[in-house]
Amino acid sequence: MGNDDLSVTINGTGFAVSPTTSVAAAIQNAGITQFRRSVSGSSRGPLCGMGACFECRVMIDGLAHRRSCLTLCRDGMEILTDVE
Amino acid sequence: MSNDTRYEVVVVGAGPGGIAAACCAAESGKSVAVIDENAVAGGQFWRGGLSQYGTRQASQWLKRSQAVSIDWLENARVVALRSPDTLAVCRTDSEDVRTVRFGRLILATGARELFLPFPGWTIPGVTGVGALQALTKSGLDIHGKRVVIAGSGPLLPVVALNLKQYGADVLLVAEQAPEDRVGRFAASVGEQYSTDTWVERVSSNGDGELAVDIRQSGDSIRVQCELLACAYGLVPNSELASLIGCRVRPDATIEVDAQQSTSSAGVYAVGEVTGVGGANAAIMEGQVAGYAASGNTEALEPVLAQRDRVREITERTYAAYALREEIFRLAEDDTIICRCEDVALGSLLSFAAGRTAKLQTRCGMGPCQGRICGPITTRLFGWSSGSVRLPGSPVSLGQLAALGDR
Repeated sequence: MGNDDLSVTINGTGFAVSPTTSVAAAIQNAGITQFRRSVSGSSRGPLCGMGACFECRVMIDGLAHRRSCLTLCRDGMEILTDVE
Repeated sequence: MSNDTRYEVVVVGAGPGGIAAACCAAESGKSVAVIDENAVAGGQFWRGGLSQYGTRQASQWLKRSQAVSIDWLENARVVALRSPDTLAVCRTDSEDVRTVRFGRLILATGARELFLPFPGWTIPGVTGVGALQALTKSGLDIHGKRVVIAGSGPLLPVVALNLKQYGADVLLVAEQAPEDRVGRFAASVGEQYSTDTWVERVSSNGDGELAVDIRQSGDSIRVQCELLACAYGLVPNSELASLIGCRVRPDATIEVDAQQSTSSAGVYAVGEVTGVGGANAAIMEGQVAGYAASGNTEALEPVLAQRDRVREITERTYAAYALREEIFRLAEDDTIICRCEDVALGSLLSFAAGRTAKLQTRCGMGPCQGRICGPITTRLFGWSSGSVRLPGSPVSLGQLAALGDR
């Protein structure tokens, strides 16, 4: 992956990522497949990868419902999965 | 909230078509802004930015875009038309809202993938084909991952080759179309490319392993993998055009004339939203619209004929991938159709029209606003996609309130 010069936390655990990494990619690289749960509680992760489906939404720096596929990692970013 | 800036030409969408349009308008002396919801301009084809791609085409457009003055409004999404010449724009990474005024508007909003439901398609690890490519381009480490690519279209072999370069173990490329239609594409991928082949079902044992049941030349086979990428071509992103009042055909493409002008005065459309044709067609159309919107008739003339030639070639390519009937019958009664609201096939079967189904089941009323299930119910039940309501994309209550103040 090359220059991992940013650090983010995902559900409280720190990860080093490169600045061109999307939040969705960082979450998947951390071994997490369930980004959120659907209205009836089933497990969901990214589907469209380009901002249309809203399946990959997570909480980023306290803001809920952010589409992780559209968001690039920033240094110090706090990412929470599975919160609605 | 920023005050409304006026540009002579505003382009929505920073993919190949939008970049070409913006460059041509700026080169013609116009003030230009490009609005895009991604963090970096490039669209899907040049995801991550033009500078990431070593191709001659990418270098050429990078150079042209750097030689002129263009305002790039990134992480921004148009949610409404505030007045005939004013767009309401929301940031995707904060609560900010602004308005942008335009003289001419060029829509280059691209396309999304067509998903058709099969049992298990909502399990994490099942994505679109372009989707997996996009995720990989944005840093998903796919090295050594076992991947099945399925669905239909010229994107399948392209993505297969690309993912292999990233180190993925591509087990199978399942193309539903018969071999005589798409034979020449098979050679580029190798023995994993299989025509007359489609995914019937996928299940998960819970530890990230997917079991994919595949129909191949009349037989049923099971393939174990970590990632399944499946999509059946593209659907134009014409919601904004509908919102603005441009005429949109039943197949969701925007009607345009020879100069890429829509039915709304001063509004142009280019690229996949006018009919799926790939990046080369989008670049040609972007140039036509960029010059036409600038009144630069001298530069416009030569690109018109080039555009027609490229369009013709790409349309022929895409026509080979007509979908077989079986693909529309894979969903079972408990298969989810609307993923936002968890509406299953069985609860939709009794409705004759999409509007009634929406009111009674909430099908299409979630955050994606029917962008995923709308094209599905159109194909499975023949329902029309219905009108696009404001806001054109989900906004927070704070943003909604700020918009009301404008």
